[in-house]
Amino acid sequence: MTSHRTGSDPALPAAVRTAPPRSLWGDARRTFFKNRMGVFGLVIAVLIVLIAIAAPWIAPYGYSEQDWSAIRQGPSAEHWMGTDAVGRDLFSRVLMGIRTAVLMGFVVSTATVLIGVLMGSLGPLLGGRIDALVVWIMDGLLNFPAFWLAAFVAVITKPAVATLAQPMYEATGWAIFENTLVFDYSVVFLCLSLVWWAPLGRLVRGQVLTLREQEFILAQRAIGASPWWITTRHLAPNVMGQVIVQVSTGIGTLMLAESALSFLGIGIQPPGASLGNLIYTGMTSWRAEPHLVLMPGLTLSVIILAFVFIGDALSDALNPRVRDR
Amino acid sequence: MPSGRALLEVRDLCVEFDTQRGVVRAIDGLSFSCAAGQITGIVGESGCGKSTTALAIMGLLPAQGRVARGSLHLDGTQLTGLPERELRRLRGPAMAMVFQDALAALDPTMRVGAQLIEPLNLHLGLRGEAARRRAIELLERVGIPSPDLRIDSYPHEFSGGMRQRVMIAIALACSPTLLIADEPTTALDVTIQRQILELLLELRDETGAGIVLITHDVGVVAETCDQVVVMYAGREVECGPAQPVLTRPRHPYTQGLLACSLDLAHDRERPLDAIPGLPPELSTLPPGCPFQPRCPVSMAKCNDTPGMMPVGPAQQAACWAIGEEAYDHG
Repeated sequence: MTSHRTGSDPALPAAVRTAPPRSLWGDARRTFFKNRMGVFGLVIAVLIVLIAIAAPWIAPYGYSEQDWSAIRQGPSAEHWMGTDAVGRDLFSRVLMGIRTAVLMGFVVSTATVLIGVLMGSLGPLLGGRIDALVVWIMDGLLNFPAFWLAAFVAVITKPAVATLAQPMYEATGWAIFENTLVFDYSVVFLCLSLVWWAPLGRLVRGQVLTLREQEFILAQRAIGASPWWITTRHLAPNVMGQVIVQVSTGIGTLMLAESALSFLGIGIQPPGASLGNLIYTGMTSWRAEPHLVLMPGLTLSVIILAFVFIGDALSDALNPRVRDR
Repeated sequence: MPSGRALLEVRDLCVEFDTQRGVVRAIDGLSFSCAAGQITGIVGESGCGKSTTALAIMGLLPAQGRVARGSLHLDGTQLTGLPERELRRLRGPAMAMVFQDALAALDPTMRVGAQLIEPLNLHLGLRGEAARRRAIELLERVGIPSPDLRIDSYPHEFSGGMRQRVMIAIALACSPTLLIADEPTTALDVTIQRQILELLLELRDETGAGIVLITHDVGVVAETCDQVVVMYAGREVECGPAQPVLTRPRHPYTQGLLACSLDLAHDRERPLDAIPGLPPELSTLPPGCPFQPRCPVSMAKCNDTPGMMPVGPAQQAACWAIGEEAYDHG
């Protein structure tokens, strides 16, 4: 055997010594940042999240603050997005609406990831009847249009929650049971989480089933790795790529769903703020005051598009089959 | 040189698979042994059951497969019927496998060093710096240049031959007494193939491990193996020390197989030799010798399945027509 140079041997060309290993994540990051739409989406999304966090402090007026001397105004210097029929500043209301959208989007996304990954991997790993049960549940959910199923759940649970609230308040005396806002948020969170995990679950299940047949999983067994070891160290990282893409594109649709629920009156209702709500309120006078519908509508579109761009760019970046970079 | 201690003993191994067409016998009555320090080659066409043998020994048969009969002994330990937990403890330190396609057999999202350290974690309890140092040593041993740099590389950053070396390093990480190499050089070009085979020979000399080398390439067998087992349709048709089996094959199938290989000196003008027909469908095997339909010397007696019969000092073949030279190649 010839003697082997170590990596720091000065006789090796500099490029060999210093080239960093190209990992899937490093490659993905590089590719993502080369995608202008993706970067643009990311910038907008970060901006939106910051705005959402800072909303109560940067809003020039209160959410419900009425100024009767300035009703039905179009966009102006004092009211950037104009005012509505009772003199409320639209910009401030839109800001609070953004806050709700972002909150719901991220919280529900987290829930769908947790439920989806759990259910999706449980089936193939435990096999047999548990697998059949999981598939039955997932297919059942997927049969329905997701939004309408969520709406259905919301319609059913809202009155139930409301009737439960009074006795709960009497039993515990906790103020939380008097707060309709909490109910609204809880119901929306519940109905969206219960329904939205199904496509992700199916994706995870498909990935796990495919990965399980890969030769490197057999090779892992050949060195004596236990199923737990294989799942956590090899299956999970390989699945996460697809999950990330799905989630980032999904945040957009989740925000849209929340807005739509609120628009229909079964989501976040006043005093809660929601872009869907704002659109609904502004709809009755859209001819005379188009800005009341346009502003929340455009804002919602921009947010959703930003996340869709991110999702698209991530999908490209994490695709290991695209070689020419 | 073989130390004589029988490391792996396979006796009358029968492996069955549940398929849509019923139960298929992928391996029927295979018996061979491999001593420490010895290289046993298993050779045959694609689909004859060579890889299934490897998986059966390791206990890695898929869910529809099982060892229906026979015994597998590794260093005295009975492998058939061992619970999975026990098998997991043996895989790595006692027996290890090198796969054919190194790119498929390595996790594409993990650095090579991490994958090499895994068996060290699992079986030897090595962690952190000690594990990393041992991994670098292993990479160096299999001939990877700049091992301290390459340890952090990903599988796709290696060439085919290097990847195969990495796989060999992983297999050797816990110093197994038995190494099963399933077509380790099939995916490589000839010059790299030679390097890998030389590496295997060196490692055999160094560690005294027994190696079961599975291949369809008779040339590989000729270069490396001490003992040869020829398989056809899941059955053993000939076995013995490499030299006599390859120079004076007795079974018509082995003779046909060897006749297929080309000899630059003599074969330029002649049409290629091939065994007529196709390998049989295992679910519809006729009774008797499975090679019958394609055999140039088949006779009525071949309807009774021949067992392995001695045809030389250490050579055996499963054929009634022993003694007749089917092909005369001098």
